[in-house]
Amino acid sequence: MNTPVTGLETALTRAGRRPRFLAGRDQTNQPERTELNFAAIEAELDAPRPSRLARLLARLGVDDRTIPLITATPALRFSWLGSVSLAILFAVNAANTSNAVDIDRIAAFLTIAPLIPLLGVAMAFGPAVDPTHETAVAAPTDGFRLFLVRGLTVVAASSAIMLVGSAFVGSGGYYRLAWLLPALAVTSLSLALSTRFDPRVAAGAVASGWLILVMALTNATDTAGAFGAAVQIGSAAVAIAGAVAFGRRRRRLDHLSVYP
Amino acid sequence: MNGPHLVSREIGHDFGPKNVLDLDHLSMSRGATAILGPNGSGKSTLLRLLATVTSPTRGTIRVDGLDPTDGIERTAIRRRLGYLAQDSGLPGRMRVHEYLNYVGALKEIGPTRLRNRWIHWTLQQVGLEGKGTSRIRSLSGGMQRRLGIAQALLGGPDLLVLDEPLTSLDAEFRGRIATLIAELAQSATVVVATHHADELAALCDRAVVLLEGRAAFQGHPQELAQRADGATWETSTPDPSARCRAVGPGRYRCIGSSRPPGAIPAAPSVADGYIAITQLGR
Repeated sequence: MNTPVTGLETALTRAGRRPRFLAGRDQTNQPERTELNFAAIEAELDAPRPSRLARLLARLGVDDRTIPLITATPALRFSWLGSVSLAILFAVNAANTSNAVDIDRIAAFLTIAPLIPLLGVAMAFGPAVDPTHETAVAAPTDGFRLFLVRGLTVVAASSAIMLVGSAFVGSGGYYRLAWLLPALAVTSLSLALSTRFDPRVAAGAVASGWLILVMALTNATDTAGAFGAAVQIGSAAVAIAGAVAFGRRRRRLDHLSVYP
Repeated sequence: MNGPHLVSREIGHDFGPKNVLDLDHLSMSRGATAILGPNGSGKSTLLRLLATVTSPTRGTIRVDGLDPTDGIERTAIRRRLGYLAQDSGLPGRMRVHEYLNYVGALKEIGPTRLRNRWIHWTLQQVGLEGKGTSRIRSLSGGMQRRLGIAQALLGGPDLLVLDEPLTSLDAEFRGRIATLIAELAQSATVVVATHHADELAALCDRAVVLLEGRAAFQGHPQELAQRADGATWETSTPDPSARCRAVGPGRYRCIGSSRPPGAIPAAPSVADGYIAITQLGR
């Protein structure tokens, strides 16, 4: 619809309601062009100033048609970002005041951190959390792209907050970042499952699975084992497999009733 | 350019064991088609199928030969589509302009300047000029409905699928929007589900009456009105044996096979024809 010469336009022309800005230069005389220019100025003046986030994204070179998709992400509300920041603050505080030694001090932080982007993705797409879902499904932008844009936005926003939180954790060495790959893995797996189930159900199942896995590994080995090299490699593999499965099942997101 | 030609063959849609739609054949082209029917008759399900947001359980739909079950062809259909869902689905926290900008981006309208012009124009069409910075939750129900219509018009689609566009509108805007829809239908294909038989369906080129998921009538609205020929009466006292509704102080319009006592015959309207089909099975 970049060149909107359509049936609606023809109908509106007949009815004297045609959007005048659609007229080409050869179809207008000088007074009409002047009027069109004023109408364009009026449309620009009517448009409110873009939000700070939209201006920042534009400066970062994000595509003009992608910016509104990002800024409309339901999970990008101040309430969500505030909750994430608060959760991370408590986790960092718990790590810094714990009586445990070394990596055990940050066990709770490493367990909870991967779940933050996961929950954000669950709140980014779907009829239960997005009132515009049905309108979005009927639009030519495919559901996969919309889900991906929103999912990545939430992952990026929550990861940035968590990275800042990690910097304030006073112990654990490199283990302070051991949540990163598991976070990608659980989010990617949740995205893949979201093509079959409601995103909230998918996120709930994956989060439960992650908690059970951490507890089992901690009992079987120790905290270092639960977040060690084997888990990191496994997480990377799950992240890739989830992304591939999500891509393959992308068309399922193009309909309203994808969830049983 | 004319609106696309929509054809459906033997489409059916089930919700679990319940069959909510079962249509043999439906064909629509340039012009407006009103879909009438009681609550739960399958109107919204039909519109969702035509708007490609759900797939039929059985049968086929084609839009100018394009198959909505094919991913690429479905996207091609959606590039021509403007859709108003029964529930407008408006995010109350967003501002009017921000919301339309978002829908414009979903419809692949760009760059921002072009989106701004479309937004400016559509807000004028639905009488919401000057409301761009208002929070959606602060708008009245009628204004929210008009905003839903505005998003459907963005980008100038030539296939418009509108589910009850006149709901919550006051008399002035019911007239304005019905006129706008009739004007659009001169070149676009417009499918509109409505309960406003005389205000909107009467302005359409075709009417379809759905009863329990099946088409009980397909034809011109005048033919629909004729279904109540010889069965429409006006009286000062409602007759319990006929389907009567008040049309003024002490004035009732009744649909019934036999003449109520003291009633005089009246010229049937589209609403009368609709009642004759749904209530009397004519």
